[in-house]
Parts: sequence; structure tokens; C-alpha cells
Amino acid sequence: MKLSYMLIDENDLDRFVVRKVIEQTDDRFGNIKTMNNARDALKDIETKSEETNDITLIFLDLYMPLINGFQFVQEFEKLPSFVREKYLIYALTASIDHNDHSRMMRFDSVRDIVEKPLTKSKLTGILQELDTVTK
Amino acid sequence: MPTKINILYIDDEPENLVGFKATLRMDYQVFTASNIPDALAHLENNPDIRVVFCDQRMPGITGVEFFEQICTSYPLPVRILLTAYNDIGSMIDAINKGNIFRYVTKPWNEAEVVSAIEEANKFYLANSMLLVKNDELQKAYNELNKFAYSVSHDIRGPISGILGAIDVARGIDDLQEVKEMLYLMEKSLKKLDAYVISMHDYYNLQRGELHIDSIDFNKIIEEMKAIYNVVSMVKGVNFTAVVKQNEVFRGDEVPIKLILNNLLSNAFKYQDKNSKNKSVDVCIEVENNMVTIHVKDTGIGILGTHVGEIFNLFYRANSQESGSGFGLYNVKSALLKLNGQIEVSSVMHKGTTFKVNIPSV
Repeated sequence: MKLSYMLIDENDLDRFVVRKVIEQTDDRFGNIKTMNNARDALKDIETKSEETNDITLIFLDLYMPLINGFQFVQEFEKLPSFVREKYLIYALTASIDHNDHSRMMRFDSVRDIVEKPLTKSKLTGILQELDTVTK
Repeated sequence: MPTKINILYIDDEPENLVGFKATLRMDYQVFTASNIPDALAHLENNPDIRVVFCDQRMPGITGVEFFEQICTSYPLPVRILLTAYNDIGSMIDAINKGNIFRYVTKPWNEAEVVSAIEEANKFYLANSMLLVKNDELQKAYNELNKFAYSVSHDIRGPISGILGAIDVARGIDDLQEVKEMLYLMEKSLKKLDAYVISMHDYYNLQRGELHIDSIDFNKIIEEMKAIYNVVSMVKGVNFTAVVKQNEVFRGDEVPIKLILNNLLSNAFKYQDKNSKNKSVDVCIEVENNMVTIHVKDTGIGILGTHVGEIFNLFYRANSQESGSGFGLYNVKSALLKLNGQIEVSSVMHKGTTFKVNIPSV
């Protein structure tokens, strides 16, 4: 399956790492959008989701100023379903707090939680799982 | 002379009230009430009442019942029952329930009442101290929770980023790209380093003692200039500093520098990148045993809804620059130690001014 990506993380290095892991792992990706805050990401999803038919995989950090990952998902879930179904949300976090994890997994639209750093094998795992689901 | 201990005496026989007050009013501040509503009004209006005496036989209610009633709404005053009856059963019951501290039999004698008051006062003080300590502990626990939270974001965050980068770098051959990564890794490590230093400041402010000495603000501002002139040049921000000090100021230099350092660092950090006339102005005035510090910037400003929260631990109002959320919290803690005050006025896209007042010791 051909995927596009959106990285929502305030940290430059983390965005760089995720981009590199995608480039090194997924040989058929569409494009990669990087957002340094969740508010801009929401705006982008609200206004530009019709520009493409690609499914976009979102890597979402949890702790960011302005809007954190939890608030982002809350707002995301208010969007119409034809917008939501174009996105797959994975929380990507350095947090090892159990409460953070269970709080995030309570959202229907969060597919899974990935512990930072993202690596080739972690991304390969996600892609394989998505392939089996969509086949 | 220490202030008198406030006590309340409740009895439905007026002559008892008069006798009690006449005997004790020299040494104690005595409030009296002949009925329950009056007693409650005294408790409500005088939160510093430490000891309450109540007669067991009140119309419609026993003293034990009255104490049971007030022990949750007014938990602090120590309760002593006055009784003429040898009603051992209800007495034992009341003591066991913890509703009364002691009982004094009627007719009472002065020595017995005074000893009861003194013992009750000691108990009251110990209890109050415990409450204060409890509050402090609760606060410390809350902050510890926040720390546990921030440890995963501010410490584990950079570490996992760098581990990820090392992993990714193994598959990159382009030297230019590797260099770009090294730059980002360095930035992450510097942030982690700044976090550890702020944490150390935080600890010192919470636990350290004050070291009072006379302070030369001209010297302090020279040190600040040495640090910030470089930033000012690199970022193209005009930096002015004025000091007016014609009198001796005594205080602790370390927290004062910490305050200045944090406010200046923020003033340079949160500049409007698109603005042409960027400036940071510091003005320090010592007058009438008080120093007033103004730190004024032409930065991005703080949104009105965030102003109330910027002094909270780990609060960050902005994503333009990566702060740790420690800075202004440490400023507030430092000011608390120095008995100082801080005010903020901010206009979005125009700038922010912090005004600090610190009294000389």
C-alpha cells in the first residue's frame, strides 16, 4: 500500500530521524509533511485533505506546547468521517508513563503507540500489519 | 507581649459566663455565648479561636452533640467539655470518638481551667504545625509528580532522539546529511544540558539558604552584558542597560542574577523574527531600600489567556522556541525567597515588559 506521511513533533531532530527512517524503509511512499506543532497539523488536515486520495500515516508526539497530542486527537475526532478515514494515527512518544499510554489508546482513532525512537524494524512492523489489514 | 489566646465559652446560664470571663479575661481573650447560634457566629467570625469550652447541659442539645456537629466544620479549635454531672458513659464515648480533648467538672476552679487551656493550646499548636507541614509535603509531592512527567519528555526525549539518529546515521553515506544530523544532535544535547542546569537552580531555590551581602547592580549588569552582547549581535537585537544605584542594597546575589538571567534570556529568545527594530532594554533602579528592575522587549508578546500560567512549572506558552518550562517558575521561586514581586504587561506582536520589585534586607 502506498502511504503518505505527516510528522507532528516540535523537536527538529525527531522529525529528521522519522523522515530518514521512512526514506530508508518505505520504498513507495507518497510525500512526507512535517509539522512542528499540532495546531498547524489540524489546519492542514481540515483544509488540504481533499487534495490527495493517499492514505496518510500520522506520527504524533504527545507533549507539545499549544496543543498536545491528546488535544489533537480530540479535535481530529470531530472532523467528518470522509476526512478522518484518510488518516491513520500512531502516537510516537518518548514517554514511558503507563497512564499516557492508556489515555491515548482510549481514542478510537489512535491505532497504536510507538515508543521513540522510530526504527526501521518498528516501521516495517507497522507497514506489514497495515498490509495484512488492507488485503 | 504575645497576643492572648482566644477562647470561647458556651453555657446557658449567664452568671456562669460572667464568672468565667471575669476570672480569665486578664490572661485570655474570652468570647462567650449563651446559645448555639451565637457560638457558631463567634467561631465563624473568629477563626483564631483556639479552645472551646461547652457546658454539657444546653437546652435542646448536649455539649457532646454540639462538639460532634462542629468537629468537621471547625476542626482546629480544641474542644473541652464542662459538666456538673457524673455522666461517665457519654463522656467516655465522646473522648473515644475524638470529639473532645478533655473535660472539666463543674463547679470548676481556676487552676484546673487554666491548665486545661494551656494543654489545649499546646495541642492546638502541634496540630497547626502538622497541617502546615502536611501542606508543604502535599506541594512537594505534586511537584515530584510533575517531575516524573517531565523526566520522560525532557530527559528521555533528547536521549531517544539521539539514539534514533545514531541508528539512522548507519544507513547514510552523504557526509553533508550526517553533518546536518550532528548539528541537530548537538542542539538536543544542549537542550538537555540546559534542562539539567535549570533543575539544579530549581533545587537550590527550593532548599538553599540565603546569603546576604551588599549588592552592586553595576557589577551584575556588566556580567549580564558580557553574556548577552554576543546574543544581541548574532540576533540583531539592540541591547541597552541602565543602572541607577546611589544607595546600599543588601540581598542575595545568586537568586537576583538568576531572575535577571531568565528574564533576559526570554527577552532575547522570544523576539519577533520578522521585526526590523528588535530591542531589549533593562533598567535597574535602587531607591528607598527597594530595587525595581524593568526588562522590556519588542518580542512576540504573550497571549492574554496564557499570562496567568507562565509562572507555572513546565508551562510553555509558545512553540517558536524550545524552552524547558522551568525559567519563569524559577524566577517566581527566587522572588518568593527574596520577598519580591513581579508584574507582566504584554501586547501581542509588540512586546513584553516584566517589572520586578525586591526589598533590601
